[in-house]
Amino acid sequence: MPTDALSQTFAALADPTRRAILERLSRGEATVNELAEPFDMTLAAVSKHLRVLEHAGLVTRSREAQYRPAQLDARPLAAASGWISDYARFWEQNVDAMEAYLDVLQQLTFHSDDNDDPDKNKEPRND
Amino acid sequence: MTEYFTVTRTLAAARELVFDVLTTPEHFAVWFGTAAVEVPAESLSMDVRPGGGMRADMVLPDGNVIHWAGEYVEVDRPSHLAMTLTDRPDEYAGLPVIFDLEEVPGGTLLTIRQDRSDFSDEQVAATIAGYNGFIDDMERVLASL
Repeated sequence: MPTDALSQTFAALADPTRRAILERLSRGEATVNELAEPFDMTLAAVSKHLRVLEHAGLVTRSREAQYRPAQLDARPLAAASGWISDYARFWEQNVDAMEAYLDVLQQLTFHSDDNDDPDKNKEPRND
Repeated sequence: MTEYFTVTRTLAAARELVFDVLTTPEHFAVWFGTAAVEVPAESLSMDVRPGGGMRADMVLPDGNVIHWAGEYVEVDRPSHLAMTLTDRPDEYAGLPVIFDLEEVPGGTLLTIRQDRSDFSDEQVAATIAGYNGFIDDMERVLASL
């Protein structure tokens, strides 16, 4: 069983129902009853998913209110997205490719300045 | 400010040229996705103005195709460009990627970054939800552990 925070975040996210619950909570807090509505699931099953999300720190539940509404805590998601910055590597590679392309582009420009300028060896025109 | 990532590079080229390479289809198709992938010209459209759309297909060496889509959010030639970009065009496009171009000795300092400073936790959560495809892959990886 994964124990580090990031593994717990991804393990919690690796379920479509739990992702749907998080999406619902991103629009505001909700009770177990409200969360269960769109799913063909028992309240116990929804509570179980909530406990996984709570354990991963993605959801907090009020201790005071009678219906203990669940709230999204997006901070572990931010950490996960930092890791998802595979995206950063994607852009690093793109900048590498852009740099190589710019070099080629400018080489071509130099060559055309040197060799391909049709007026280069002509006398200045008088018109 | 929480930055997701920042990539900086000094490019030996004039700022206008770097901006054009970022925003002109003929140039963009050459470098985007690196030399290992093809971006067919007919798949590429770039309407470079605030609110304008961007589309590009990326053909991977194994033949799989990634469909990219985005929207230009801020366009200020030649110093600044902000655009969303996602490979899940049917879903929320997420936070914009920001390109800043600064004239420095020897060329142009290009900074590519994405940060969450102006966005609520809810918007960030929605951005992560946009990574569903990636998370589905993670699901398979985790299932195999």
